[in-house]
Amino acid sequence: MKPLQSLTRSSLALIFSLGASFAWADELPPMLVAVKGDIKGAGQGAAIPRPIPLRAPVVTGADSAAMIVPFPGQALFVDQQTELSVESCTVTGGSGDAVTKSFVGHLQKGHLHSSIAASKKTTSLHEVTTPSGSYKAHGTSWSTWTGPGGDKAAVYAGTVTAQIGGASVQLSAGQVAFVTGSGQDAKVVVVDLKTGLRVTYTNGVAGDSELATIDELKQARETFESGLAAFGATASDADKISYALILQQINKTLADNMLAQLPLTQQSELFTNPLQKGTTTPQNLASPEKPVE
Amino acid sequence: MLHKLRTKLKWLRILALLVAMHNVMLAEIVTEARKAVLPTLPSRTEPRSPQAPAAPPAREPQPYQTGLDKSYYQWSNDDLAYLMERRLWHFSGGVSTGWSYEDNINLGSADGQNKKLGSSSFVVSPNFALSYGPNSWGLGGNLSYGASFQSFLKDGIDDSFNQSIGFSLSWTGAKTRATFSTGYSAMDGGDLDVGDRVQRNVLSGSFGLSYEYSEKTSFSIGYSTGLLDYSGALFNSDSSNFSAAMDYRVTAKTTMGLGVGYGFTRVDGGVDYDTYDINLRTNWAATSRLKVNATLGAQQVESPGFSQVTPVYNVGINYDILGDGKTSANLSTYRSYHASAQLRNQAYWSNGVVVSASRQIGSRTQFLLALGYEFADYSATAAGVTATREDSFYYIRPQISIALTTHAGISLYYQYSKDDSTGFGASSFESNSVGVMANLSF
Repeated sequence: MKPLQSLTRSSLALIFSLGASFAWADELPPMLVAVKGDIKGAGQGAAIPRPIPLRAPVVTGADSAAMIVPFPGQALFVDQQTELSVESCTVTGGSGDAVTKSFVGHLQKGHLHSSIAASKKTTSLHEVTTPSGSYKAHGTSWSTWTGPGGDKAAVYAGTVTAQIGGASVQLSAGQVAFVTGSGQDAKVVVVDLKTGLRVTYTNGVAGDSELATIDELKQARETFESGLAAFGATASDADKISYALILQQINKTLADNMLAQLPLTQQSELFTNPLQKGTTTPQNLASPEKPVE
Repeated sequence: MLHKLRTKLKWLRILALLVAMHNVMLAEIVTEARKAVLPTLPSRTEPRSPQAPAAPPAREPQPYQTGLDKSYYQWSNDDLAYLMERRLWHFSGGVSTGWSYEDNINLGSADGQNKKLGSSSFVVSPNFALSYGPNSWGLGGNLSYGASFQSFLKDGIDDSFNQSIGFSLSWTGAKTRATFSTGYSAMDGGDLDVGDRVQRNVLSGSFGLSYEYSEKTSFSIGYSTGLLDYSGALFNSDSSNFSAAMDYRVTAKTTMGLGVGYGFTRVDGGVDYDTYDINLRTNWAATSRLKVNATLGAQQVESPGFSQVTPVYNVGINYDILGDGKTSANLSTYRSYHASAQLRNQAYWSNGVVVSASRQIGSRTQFLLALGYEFADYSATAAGVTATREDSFYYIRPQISIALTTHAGISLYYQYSKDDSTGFGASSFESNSVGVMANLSF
């Protein structure tokens, strides 16, 4: 399945801009870009115009790596397995500082991990545009994006709205989307790791829910798992807690299909069942060693 | 009373020591993981691009953030060193502690020989899980341990100490998947078959192998074994089961499969028996909210001088009530066969149904509600034995868990359960339990 093929080429076409409709701080950490394998910096404290200009097309070498951290050390660099084309990335909000500090982008192995923690005082919006469409996240949510061999999006908390081929696809936590084509020809396959089901959007129209194949579940798990590191490193507390709530469902789906389960998080401990932890309550007759449920 | 307090203080000191040991071990694990997997970027010596701006002065390495991974970035003249530590080992652990009250700890009855005993208690339950990954492909592993110490405040009731340890491995290849798991549990809670609180040890193991022959067809084999060891004059048993199945993807929404199985059960002091199974199974995506999996078949039970064929089934239905993934309902119903630990040369058919619902409220709260009913029909496994016991057991269990922070939360639960038991060896009871637990993660 083409959109599920791994991205391992060393060449990269990266176009990235970070625009903001709010006031930036007077002195910003350096803006970094990857150019033919070299990482370049805009200079510490240099004033960065708004919106930040594109430094593209950018082609990286075999061993580049990337990370985008607008605050406190604004950086962008690209790793060896990245094949990504992001046309724009915009963070808007009513209050600049609050949004600026709460946004973290993290590019790793072809995945751009984006996180934005909503300010209670402002309305915030995070939008990333790729050749196949755009992804918007209101409030607190987490996603990963890749391209151009096919975009992928994995959501760990909250909801992401993808505008692809004229269709609006709501991606909820635990779902992984694979996108091929663009415009009206875009095809979107959304695999839900919580249920093991998939939905295919063709020409903007959603098909029936179907059983995901083992290969799709493997790829979805791989995509989802590859973003967990950045998620754990950058997500807000609320996102981490809400992720713990869906982790049991995801692991049940994986276990049912004989796939390796995802590691528990610290927050998983907060939702354990005390009646199953202890074994002093009556056990079901069927299997004393396995309490009901 | 003074003795009890001293005992509790002793356990608290042991717990504090265990936590301190854990912290030291975790630091070592993290350090070793860094040494093993910390990648570095090669030095960049090529000339800079003409449009490249001047590099900032060198900085000290800055830890990005903590979490499953830890990243560092550092300027060194024209080069940026980016260090991403990818942990192959993941550790999570926690301690739950709190208060609970049970009015029938030993599953007794007001009019029976086994009188009801009720008491409040303090509970401490530490647990941890250590997993190896990433493992989308290749090998993955998990080691988990949990213990529960329950100190009853009422004199005359022995404190409870339960513990379990589990170990599992998985391997994922292009077409082959394999799983292995083993576990050990020591428990001294109530047991419905026995009708009393009883110490028992459970040793279990399983192995599974699946092969994708084509996009639509897969084959699988499995083996599982279990050993039940009871204290006192009860009948220990061990069992082994072998299974094989073929599954076929009939449509995009449905898979169908055919399976066969063989098992044998050895009962200490009783008659052994064999089981033969044949079943059909299906996995069906009915709608975007409704998913059904079912195994329906027949089982033949054979022992010297005794043979019986009956239906067996296991059906699960998952329904996303509101379609938002936050409110789900599950229904499962089953029928299966188990050796009795209390009654010689008898086994029982468990016919049960469990309905559970969960609701995620906001991002920090989870509400669970479970209702279950099980009818146990005892039958003889040897000629000349008459089995008359029948149990009707049901329960309701609401629970709410709230995460106060990322490392602390609270759970409240209640359970009502009742068993109407008739016939020889019957043991009826009714019980209530309620508790509040503080959950701490680390």
